[in-house]
Amino acid sequence: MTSHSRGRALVPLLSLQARSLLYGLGVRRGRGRARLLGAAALVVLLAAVAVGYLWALGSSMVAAGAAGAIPALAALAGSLAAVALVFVKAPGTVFGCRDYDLVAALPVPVRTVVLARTAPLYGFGVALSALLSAPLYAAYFTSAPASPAAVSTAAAVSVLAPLAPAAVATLVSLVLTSVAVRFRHAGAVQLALSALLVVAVVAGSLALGRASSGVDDAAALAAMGDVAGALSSAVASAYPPAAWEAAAVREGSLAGLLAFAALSLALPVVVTLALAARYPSVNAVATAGPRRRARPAATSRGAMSPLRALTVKELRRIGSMPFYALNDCAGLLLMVAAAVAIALFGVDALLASGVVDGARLDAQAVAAMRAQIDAALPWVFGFCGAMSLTAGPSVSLEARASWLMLTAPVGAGTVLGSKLLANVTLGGVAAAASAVALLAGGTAPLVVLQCVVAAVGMLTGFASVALAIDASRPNLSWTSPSEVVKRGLPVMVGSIGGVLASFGLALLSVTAAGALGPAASAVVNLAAPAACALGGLAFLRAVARRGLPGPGWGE
Amino acid sequence: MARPILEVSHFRKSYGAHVAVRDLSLAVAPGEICGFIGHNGAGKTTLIRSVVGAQPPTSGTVRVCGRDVWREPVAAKRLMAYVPDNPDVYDFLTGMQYLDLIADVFGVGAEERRRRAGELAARLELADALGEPVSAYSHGMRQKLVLTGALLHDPALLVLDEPFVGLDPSASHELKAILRERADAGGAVFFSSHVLEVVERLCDTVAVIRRGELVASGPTDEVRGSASLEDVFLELVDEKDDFVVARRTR
Repeated sequence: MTSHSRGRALVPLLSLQARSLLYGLGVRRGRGRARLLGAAALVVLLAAVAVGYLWALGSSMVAAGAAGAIPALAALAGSLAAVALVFVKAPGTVFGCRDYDLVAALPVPVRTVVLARTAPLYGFGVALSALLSAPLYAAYFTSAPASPAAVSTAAAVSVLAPLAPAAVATLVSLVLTSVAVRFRHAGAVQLALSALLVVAVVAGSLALGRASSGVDDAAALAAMGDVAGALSSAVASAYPPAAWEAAAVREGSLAGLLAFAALSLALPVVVTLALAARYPSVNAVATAGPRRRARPAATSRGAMSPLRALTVKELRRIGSMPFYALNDCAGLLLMVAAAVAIALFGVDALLASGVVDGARLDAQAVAAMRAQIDAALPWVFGFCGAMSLTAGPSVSLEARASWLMLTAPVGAGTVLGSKLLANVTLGGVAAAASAVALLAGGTAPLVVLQCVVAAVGMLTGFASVALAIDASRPNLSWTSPSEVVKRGLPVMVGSIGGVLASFGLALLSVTAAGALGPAASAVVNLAAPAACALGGLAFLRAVARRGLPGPGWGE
Repeated sequence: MARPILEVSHFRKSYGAHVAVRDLSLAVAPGEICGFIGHNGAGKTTLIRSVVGAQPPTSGTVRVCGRDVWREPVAAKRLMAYVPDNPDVYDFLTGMQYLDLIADVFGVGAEERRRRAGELAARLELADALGEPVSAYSHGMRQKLVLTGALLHDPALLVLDEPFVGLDPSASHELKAILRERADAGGAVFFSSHVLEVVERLCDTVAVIRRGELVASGPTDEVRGSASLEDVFLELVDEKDDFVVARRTR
């Protein structure tokens, strides 16, 4: 096959990837234009926030005299974003793809097939890196000479920086995926690894917060500059290309730039060729099931009521989908983490430490605001409960197995009730664990009661609303669960509504505490979540009474 | 004559301006196996999905043992079982967990489910795989699992959409035997199929649908006459279709 025909094959394969992306966003035969525009607007908004934040960070570093660390930080920011993207998207895009058999049977060189999968991924990585590096370099060049050569070099390394790490991330992702799929509960293994990562990030940021407490902002920024400088040195010693990159930007080293460019371009090419050379084996290891062992004959367990059996099924689904669990149970993990932190350090110490963003109060201020703090505390738990809506996408997640739900001899109330019950069970366990931690830490029982009521009430209310919306208009034809778990209307309405309501009710409670005293805020904290739960349940009941399938089930 | 187990009266289903099935009536009596045949897109799955309560009809009624599927859905669904053309079930369950779920939902006791699941899984050669996750099952194994689940509660009416697709020859043979046993025990079976030889040999009655209209129904021998079911089917389906007639005579 000539290079011309290879190129001709690449274009339709890339076009297929683009169509797959659009389909994933919900664009179907001319429909979904509003959704596409909405997604574009959201991307622009997020990009603007990221650019603004990084510009402010870069400017602060320049002001603190830590401008020299910016090139390393820019490379790191771009590379980390690309690495995260590749980690998440490579399984299913580059290897372990559903359409492997189809593309493997095409009369196209395997190299072209793999290139069509890696190129868009690395392209997105490059775009992300350019976006994140630009504001940092803009700040950098306010203190360093912005000669055309220096600016061109900075632009080149911004684009090149993520390529080599992304290529390595592809291989690491392949290794991790092929290890995880060997376990019978591959999802749980991935969940555990992801949870470990989250814990490490949270612990790291807490440690940084504690390290910088008690110093003024300028000193904290200077410390950050030192950290970045040390990080730059560490990265350079562990990863020599970072030193070439820094020399290219800071000293205009042509040799450094060429060496960095050669490595950044060569590594993705080598990885793509290596994957292409062993593509069938690569897909086989990435999709291998658990090792088969001789199992004792499966035996039936005892009988359960339909509601309990369906609830257990829902809990099994959540446990089997790490992506779903991580998105919809993160608030519950945060809830327990917050309760443990309060039990260990106390609310006062946490507010005084500066760990809580935007709040650094001295002991006197904390004492003066005791009533307001107690009034607001339950809404930390209400907020966490309101963003943990596993029930939100649960009807859509039935997808092609929805026939089971529709033909089961149980009412819609039982089917939807089981989904809500699974959600409330998880929330209840998290709230109970939090209550035990708070009581052990010496929090007043009435405040603990308010925390539990806020968490469970907000979760029940907004999970019911999200579930009712999903049952009314489910998306049963998704191609990736992220379409319904992350971008689905029920989850968005439920969680955004829940979070906004939590903030609003917290404000009301704090105001009531200030104006009328602690008893008034306690009434708000107990009555508002209960009302929210009852309102949500009434909405869900109205939808359940119409039965399944209802209007909007794809007809 | 015994009261039919399945009664479909003046069934009509439309999607906007498109009428998928128009004014269709049929009945399946106890002890009968009824084959439902028609070309692709004729409306077979549309009718079947409404019979099992997965999709409401635009008008008309569907009754199972006298229970209206759309007025008394829970009572009607308790009397029947459905095996869809694509046996998509929950990948995150093992085969036995799936059977337990179905047994719980249909209210089958612990002892009875153990006995029936054991018997059916052994007959369909699925017993060794029940401890495995469904995600590791082939299409045929999923089909066997769904079939096992469908028979756990001893339904009066068994509704199957293309049940022989994906089954190996021995499972296919076993399925035919199971369907005949259910009919002999006084139950009713209603299934769609494109395998006309199987319909001809197995079914007591047949119903032929063409572009949403029932063009023939009755005892298999009467519908077939002295010809084969395939010949009759092609004649019925092609009767009003000039394009197909022209193609066949070319």
